[in-house]
Amino acid sequence: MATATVRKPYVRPRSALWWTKNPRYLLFQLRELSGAFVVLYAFLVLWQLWALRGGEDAYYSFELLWYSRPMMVLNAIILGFAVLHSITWFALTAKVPLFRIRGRPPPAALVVGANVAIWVAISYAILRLLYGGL
Amino acid sequence: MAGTGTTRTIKLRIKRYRPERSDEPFDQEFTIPFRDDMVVLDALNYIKDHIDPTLAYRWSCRMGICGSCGANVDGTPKLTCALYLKDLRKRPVVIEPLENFAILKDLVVDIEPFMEKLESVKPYIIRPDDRPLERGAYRQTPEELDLYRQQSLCINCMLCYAACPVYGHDPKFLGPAASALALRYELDSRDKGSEERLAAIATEHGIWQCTFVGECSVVCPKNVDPAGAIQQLKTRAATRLMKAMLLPLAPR
Repeated sequence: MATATVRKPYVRPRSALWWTKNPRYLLFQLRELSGAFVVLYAFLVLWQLWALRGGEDAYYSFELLWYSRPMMVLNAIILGFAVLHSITWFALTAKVPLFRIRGRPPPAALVVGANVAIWVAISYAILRLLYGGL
Repeated sequence: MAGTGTTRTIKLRIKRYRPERSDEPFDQEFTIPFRDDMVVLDALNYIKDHIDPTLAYRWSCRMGICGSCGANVDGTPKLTCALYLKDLRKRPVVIEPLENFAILKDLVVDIEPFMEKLESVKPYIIRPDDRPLERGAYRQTPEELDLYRQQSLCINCMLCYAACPVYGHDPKFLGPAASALALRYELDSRDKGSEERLAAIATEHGIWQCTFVGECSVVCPKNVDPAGAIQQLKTRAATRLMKAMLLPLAPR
């Protein structure tokens, strides 16, 4: 005699540390986190503008803080995340081929490379414009 | 058999689940003889034939086409028929059911939610005019076929779902393979159902939930690139939305 079938699907609990299991998951989490740092920098710039509006004394106090060691460290961290944010963003561009070359999507290296090259060129042009070079 | 005559052995740790006997899965270790030409599926077959006939797992073609034999091997979703034991460094080799799916028994997971997702993307050619059969097939050039060939190679092995943390977080997420299937029909010159299909997939639990982890494309054994497919669908859905906003009277 056949025994009755027991159907009892087991759903595995999900670890809160799932992103530590694979270096690419970790990179993804850092990429997502980078957005928060980009927003933080936008607020810092707004703060700077606010200080500028407050007159010379207010801006001087701001600069004292701005060039302090903790702020330099924070800015270095933000720069790191901004670079990560930009590079991972440009890496995405190759996934959406907007045109084809001889019936094929353009090679990923070409699309990503061109985007990064334009990004670097524009960043350098802005640096030249504001500070006269690196 | 190549070798020196002494039999090498390999230890495997397999996640077992016997719903009729216990409430939770448990690990069981097996030590089996091993040769360089053995894949993980061969090891499972050896255990079933010689040690424990109750071990449950799916397999069929043994050549990377049927998409049945997926499992997490040492934490990574793999087709067990295409993974050589000799290429695995860790001991014991850990074999578990595909991550993110409910386990039915041992390595057999519940694929029903996946099948529903495939159906939800309307994976068929949609035409406003149903041409009578006697007028023949809708024709297509080789170049037009090339546009969607990559997405059409999916074998529904579900490795991409096992690799997707977004799906692990929200089982309602449409997910990688179903999205790639949607793009396959989007790119098909014979299909005229883009409006209908995009409306079905550009939803909260649809393509917009993808945060582009990209691991689905890494584990895909057929180079379908589901992550890329989802990004292309997002572009199409966004274009459709912008057109509807800017040119409300234009035909879509």
